[in-house]
Amino acid sequence: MPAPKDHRKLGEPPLLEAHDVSIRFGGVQALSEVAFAVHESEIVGILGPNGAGKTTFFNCVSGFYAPNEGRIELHGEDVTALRPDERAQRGLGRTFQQVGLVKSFTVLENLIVAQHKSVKYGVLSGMFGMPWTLREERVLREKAMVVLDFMGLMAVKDAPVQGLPYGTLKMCETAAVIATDPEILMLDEPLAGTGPEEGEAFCQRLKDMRRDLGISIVMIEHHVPLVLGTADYIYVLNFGALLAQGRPAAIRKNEAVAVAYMGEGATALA
Amino acid sequence: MSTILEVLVNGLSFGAVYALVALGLALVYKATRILNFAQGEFGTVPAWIAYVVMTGFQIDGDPVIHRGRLWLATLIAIAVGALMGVLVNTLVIRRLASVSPVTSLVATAGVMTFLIAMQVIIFDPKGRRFPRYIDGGFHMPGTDVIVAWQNVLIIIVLAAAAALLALLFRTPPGVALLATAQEPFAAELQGVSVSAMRTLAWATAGALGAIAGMLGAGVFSSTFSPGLMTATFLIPAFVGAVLGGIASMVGAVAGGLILGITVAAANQIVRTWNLDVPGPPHLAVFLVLLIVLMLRPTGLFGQEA
Amino acid sequence: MSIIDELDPDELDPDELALADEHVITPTEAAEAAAWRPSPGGVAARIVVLVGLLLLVVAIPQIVPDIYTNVVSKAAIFGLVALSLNVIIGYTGQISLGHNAFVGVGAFGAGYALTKMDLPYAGALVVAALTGVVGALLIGVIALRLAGLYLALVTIAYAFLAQEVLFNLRSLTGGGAGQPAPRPSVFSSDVSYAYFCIAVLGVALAFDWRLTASKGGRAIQALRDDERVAASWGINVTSFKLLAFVISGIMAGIAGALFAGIEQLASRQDFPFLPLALTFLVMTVVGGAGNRWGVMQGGILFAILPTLLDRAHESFHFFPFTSVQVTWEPAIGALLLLLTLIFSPGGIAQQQRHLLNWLSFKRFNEPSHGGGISRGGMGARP
Repeated sequence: MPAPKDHRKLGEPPLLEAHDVSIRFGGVQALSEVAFAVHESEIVGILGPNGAGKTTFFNCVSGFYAPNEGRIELHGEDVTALRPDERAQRGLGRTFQQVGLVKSFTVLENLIVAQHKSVKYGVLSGMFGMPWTLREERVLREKAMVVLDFMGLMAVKDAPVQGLPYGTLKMCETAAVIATDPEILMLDEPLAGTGPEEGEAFCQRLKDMRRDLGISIVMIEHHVPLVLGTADYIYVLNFGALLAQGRPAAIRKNEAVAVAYMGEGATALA
Repeated sequence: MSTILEVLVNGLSFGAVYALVALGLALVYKATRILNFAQGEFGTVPAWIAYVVMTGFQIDGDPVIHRGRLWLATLIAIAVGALMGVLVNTLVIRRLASVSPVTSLVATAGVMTFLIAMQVIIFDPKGRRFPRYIDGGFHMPGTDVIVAWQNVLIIIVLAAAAALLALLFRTPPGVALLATAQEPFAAELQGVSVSAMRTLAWATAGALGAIAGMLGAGVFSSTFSPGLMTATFLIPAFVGAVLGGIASMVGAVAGGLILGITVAAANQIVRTWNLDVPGPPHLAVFLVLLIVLMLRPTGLFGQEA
Repeated sequence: MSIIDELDPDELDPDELALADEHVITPTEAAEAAAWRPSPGGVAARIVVLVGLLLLVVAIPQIVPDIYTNVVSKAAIFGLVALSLNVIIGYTGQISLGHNAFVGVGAFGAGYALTKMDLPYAGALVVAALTGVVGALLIGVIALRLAGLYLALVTIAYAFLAQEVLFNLRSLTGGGAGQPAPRPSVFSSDVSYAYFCIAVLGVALAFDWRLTASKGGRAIQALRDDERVAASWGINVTSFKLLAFVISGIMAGIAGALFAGIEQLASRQDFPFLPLALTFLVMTVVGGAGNRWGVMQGGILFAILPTLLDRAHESFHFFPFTSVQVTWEPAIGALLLLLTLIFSPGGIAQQQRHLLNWLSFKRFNEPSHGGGISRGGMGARP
């Protein structure tokens, strides 16, 4: 299996880039001039202690917060002024810390709704039940099943979202985001609530996704060893600012990062 | 010049009642995040109880009103109002199957409908006389504009209530109340009884509503009828509260008064220029609401949307 | 930063995820239920019942005594209004307290189109629908960017505006005398008009069905539960909320046009805020917001309730019927609303869920989770 092309090393322009993103809430400077870049076929990890501003950063990049300063670029296009759904239309997908699913639907129904932006027929045609819409509905359903199969979730496809265990829900959420056909997938703590084996399996799946679906992945995670083993590049945030960035090997040996996570006297991360 | 004065005087007189109702609305919202559509009836129902006390339970016809009982009736009315607030919270809001702002709003609208419907059944939809606390008025010097003493009283009560509430939210119990609205779980952990705070908030809003009802019912003589507070004052009060900032006590007062003046001005404009526009007060209220929501949804004094 | 003000990303509520309603459905139960098919006997039984119900509906205008034929029309029209309000309350999870305005403006619009603009009946229906679009856009553009509570306020202000201002514009509404709204000659008999109204209701039901089974309806319902998630899936939150409002406005406007055709007159006393807007709200919630069959029945119930009360008062000469009058209707309605919100948030539909399941060719006692596409609403977590 040939290693994936290292687009970052080749100096190619990034798919997603954030420049000097800063945001303030009341008196608190939540982010200060944070910058990052995500290249094609890349898995980027975002590490940092609790309260470092990782989710806030995600919210700025995905459009749910408007930063006070800074710029977000998607495929070179400045998307800082765009709404979240507009950024999603341009290939950005994300998950949420609490499960990002429509709670009153079943898992399958969620996967069908998630494909919203790929649906070719217009809203009006759908409302009037035009024949071509019926055909496309079948296609949507089939594609939803394909994704569920890929994620190993076929057993729960007709189950209502309410009542499923937390770990399963996070998997379903990831499945839903994949169904949106993203180019860049932003995962907010996808391993929360999963055990070590599930975590490893999930990270392997991420690598499969990178290879088979050609999507880039950005993940916020607390499970440092897994991130070090999965990501191609890592950014570390602390107190709203970028503390360090680099390849996993460099981050592992970075003393400042170790101190931030484990206190004074720590010399290496893992 | 005297027309402007007249508009101001008129505007402040019903604006003050709007503001009183708006205070109750802002209080409930600040404490529970619920828009209380029954706030108007927290006024009309106690007023009816007072009426019944003052006429010695003679409801039909045009009964004699014993003015001597007015103050007794007022006390009873305020107690009834507070009780109503507590009952709405205990019997309805707390027992809703799913407590969201939207469902709670529908529930308060249901309570409002029920209360008005019961009034219509019991008292018949006709207008009655309701006494004022102080009859008569005085001339504004140099003009022939008359200011009713009742309106002055309303302004005084309004100022007192607003000041008390604004101060309340700076005291420890008041802060506890705010905490239960914003972070009930955290407040509970700090030892604050969320349910006690909410009961207190609703009781206060009910008492405030009763005061508004007792004063407002006498503002327009001979038209005290079922659903009066809701039909005449509730929507302008809501708009006034939004204008001032829905969770702000000071805002409720300012918004209510400004709206009152706007309504009076609208009436005057239509009259002077003989415009064929029906219902100028309602048109004015709607326009103010649209303008506020378009330009500054948080209102004049509000910090949250 | 408008949508942003409403968001609170640190609002952790893991308890909500494993929420138990009456019964938590396990994935295996759900898979079984989805795969289950009725036996040939079961299919036959269902078909017989469905055909029977259909025949009953078709027969009603004929079998009902003449004085009540117009009540049948009113029932169909209220069913249509319930469907329209259901799009807002049940599917989008918002509130409209001002639907009397939409219906009334539609009625007057139709009357105006027929008499002053001399349009054919179809044209009048289009005008009525357009009044609904305009009203929805007006309200929606202002309020849909903001929290749902503001929308509720705008709709109620619109209701009062309509009642006190719009309905009093003499040129449009004929003042106190009302605006004539003649029926097309084809439907001049009350019975034929009743069939027409039922047919329109049927078309609306079909449309509602296609709506929820397609991209637009799903997007709207996704908004109800979690706007952020919907946005992250590429759904333009404000546009789809506006779409829902416009659809609702169109249906309500057409309902208004039909309503005017009952007496062939639209007059302002017919569309007061209290009790009409509240009756509309009550019938939708009591029917079961989110379920089209439930809300339709809610509409029918409240359309015939005054007549029922009258008949009860005349026929039963013992307490409590001796004192029951038509004026009791709003009180009864409000009480039913509160009882629904407290004890049975899914309304009539929730009470009928077994029957509705059976008629949908599913198992009679299939466990229901009170949610799902076109089954969510006040009973589902908002």
